[in-house]
Amino acid sequence: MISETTYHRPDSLDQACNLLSENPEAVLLSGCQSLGLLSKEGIISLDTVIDLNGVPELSDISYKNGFLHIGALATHRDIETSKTVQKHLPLLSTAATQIADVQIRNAGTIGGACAYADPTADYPPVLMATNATIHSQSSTDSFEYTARDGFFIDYYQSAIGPEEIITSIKIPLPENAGYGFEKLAYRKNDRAIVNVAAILESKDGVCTRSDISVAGVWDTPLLANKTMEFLIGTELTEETISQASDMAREEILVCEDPLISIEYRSAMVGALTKKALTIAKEDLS
Amino acid sequence: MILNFKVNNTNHETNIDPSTPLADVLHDVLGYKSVKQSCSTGICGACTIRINGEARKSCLHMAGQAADSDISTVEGLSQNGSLSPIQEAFIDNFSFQCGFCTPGFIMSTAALLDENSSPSDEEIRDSLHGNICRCTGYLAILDGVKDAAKRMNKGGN
Ligand SMILES: Cc1cc2nc3c(=O)[nH]c(=O)nc-3n(C[C@H](O)[C@H](O)[C@H](O)COP(=O)(O)OP(=O)(O)OC[C@H]3O[C@@H](n4cnc5c(N)ncnc54)[C@H](O)[C@@H]3O)c2cc1C
Repeated sequence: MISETTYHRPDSLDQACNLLSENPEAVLLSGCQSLGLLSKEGIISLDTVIDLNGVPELSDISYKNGFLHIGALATHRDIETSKTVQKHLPLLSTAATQIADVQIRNAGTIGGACAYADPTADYPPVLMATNATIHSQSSTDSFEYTARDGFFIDYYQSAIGPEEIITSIKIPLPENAGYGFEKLAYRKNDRAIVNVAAILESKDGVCTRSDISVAGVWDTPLLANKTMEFLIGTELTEETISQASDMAREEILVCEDPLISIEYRSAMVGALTKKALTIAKEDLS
Repeated sequence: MILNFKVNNTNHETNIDPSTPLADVLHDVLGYKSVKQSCSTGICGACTIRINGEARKSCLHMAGQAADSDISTVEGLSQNGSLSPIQEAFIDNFSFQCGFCTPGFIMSTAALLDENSSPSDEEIRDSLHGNICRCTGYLAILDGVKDAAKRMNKGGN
């Protein structure tokens, strides 16, 4: 007989970190919306579980000094319905509304989604485009990772170490930006075939900031660096946006998928980038 | 591990592996037969229950995660032997055929109508997006939800 899971439900972050350092093999539990599948498929074994849901300081959502702070345990539903997020970063609440369904959004968390690093997930392109940082803690240290630079390391692999707990996400907020988020899926709110997050800023019609991230097509979310560079200093017109989308289609790497051809997905990268940029541009005014 | 489950306002203390899916605890151990695993991957919604009022998929929760919370299932909806307005509206609008998915649809509907007593078609569709029905073609379910909202606004409970 398989022995019973040892289950811990710490009520503070320090206690959770100490438990994890004493049991480095332990599995952290947030919403269970991905863990439930991993354990059912036998991919992960649940000998020891540390349930984070009793740690109160991890659910906070707040705005301070130009940054949005989101606790790791904030659920997709919290983020979707938070007045603070809707006001300061509608790009993130829009992405949250497109995750699965109400039941899953009620349980799944942003911390769990970051740790899981699903290449088709909906927050990663937003965290890349906004240049967010991901913060974690162990029993002895705290760590900061940059979404754009080394956090999403590989297919379902984030940079979080085995003794770290993600505690929050911190997002620097642009002042007068326009946002676009576009997702293509088989069914509304299914996992993304392609998703794109775009941020634009402009002065007198000329683009002063452009950030574009595409996910769902490669092992990690990607930045469209060349396209972003191209747009800076150009006038934002239908034509330049169209040129930018062609560039994004060219530069974004697309891996093979048994069900969808590379050509189709590349074409969709172009089409969704165009849509996201157009919406971001309209959002500017 | 001894865990306490509060289901429909009744406390159950039971000795169970805390990583057991909540759906199995409710159905197999505690006897709430309305709660069924179907896809077991969080897609179909047949196992939908409410935890602290929120619609949740009980196949994707561990027993330990839900212990000591307020859990509700379809079994708790009727009062003194009378069906709730949602159940009656589902019957009158033929909102189910085989019935397998129905408890999940009803619990999603209950969570929606508690939050929003007059939802638009779009809001109903969004709230039921996580529930799959293979018999009705959904339109009768939408009718049932709209009728339930009307009955509840008229003073049912
Ligand atoms: C049917 C279905 C459809 C879905 N559709 C989408 C979708 O369209 N878009 C989308 O973006 N996502 C989707 N998801 C995934 C969903 O967003 C998950 O909620 C999310 O990926 C994991 O969050 P969680 O809180 O449930 O984490 P859990 O399942 O609890 O944990 C996931 C992993 O992260 C680790 N972990 C959890 N919390 C922490 C932490 N604080 N620090 C370090 N490690 C941690 C766990 O140990 C585990 O390995 C879907 C899931 C399902 C079941």
